[in-house]
Amino acid sequence: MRRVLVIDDQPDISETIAATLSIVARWEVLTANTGEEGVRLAAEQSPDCILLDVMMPDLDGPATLRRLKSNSQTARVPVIFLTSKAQISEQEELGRIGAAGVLTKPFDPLQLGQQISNILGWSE
Amino acid sequence: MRLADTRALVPEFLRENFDRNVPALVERVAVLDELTHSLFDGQVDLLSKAVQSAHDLCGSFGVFGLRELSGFAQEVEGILRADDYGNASRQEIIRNNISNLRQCLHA
Repeated sequence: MRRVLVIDDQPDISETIAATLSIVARWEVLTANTGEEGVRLAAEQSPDCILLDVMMPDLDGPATLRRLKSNSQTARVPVIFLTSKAQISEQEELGRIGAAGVLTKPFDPLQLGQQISNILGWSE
Repeated sequence: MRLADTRALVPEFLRENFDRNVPALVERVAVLDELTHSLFDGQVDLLSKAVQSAHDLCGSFGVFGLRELSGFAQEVEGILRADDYGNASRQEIIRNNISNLRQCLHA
């Protein structure tokens, strides 16, 4: 079973993504509501993938990614950023700093797992 | 569109989750409304808070697959982020979008 970590400062978003991926894709989903908590959980739980919100207070998405990449335990975990369309100009930059991909909100809950699999080349 | 119509657009397996979040969504729309009113009244220091508020709403509606509602919030976010809220037509778009969001959550 795939294990995915969702890092988003809005608990409603991380909980809804968790419900979506556990019910539709049948993956195990961990959630963190700050970048700091996400970095710690990633090192402890070794997820197969991290979904990371770009815009968070304190440690934002790009800063969290840099922390993950600088830790040998988490450096190889693929990270997919969650952005809004209003931030579309930032997508190229997110790729440059090491994101495996970018998912733009809103997403279709029924397709989310497939979209993640497509980005990461997972065959389910 | 009223709350029942909005709820019907949420995939069935997420409806319970949506119901739990409706009060928080209503509150967030009210906060965005207040922030934008204050911005239009000249409190420009509230811009980043208003951008964050619209951004959060865009994401919150988006995860439930509510594309139209997420789009209303996203348009507000885009106008604010571009610092383009100064003229009357843009302010009208923002007011209308917030009003649409409020109505879609009204029982």
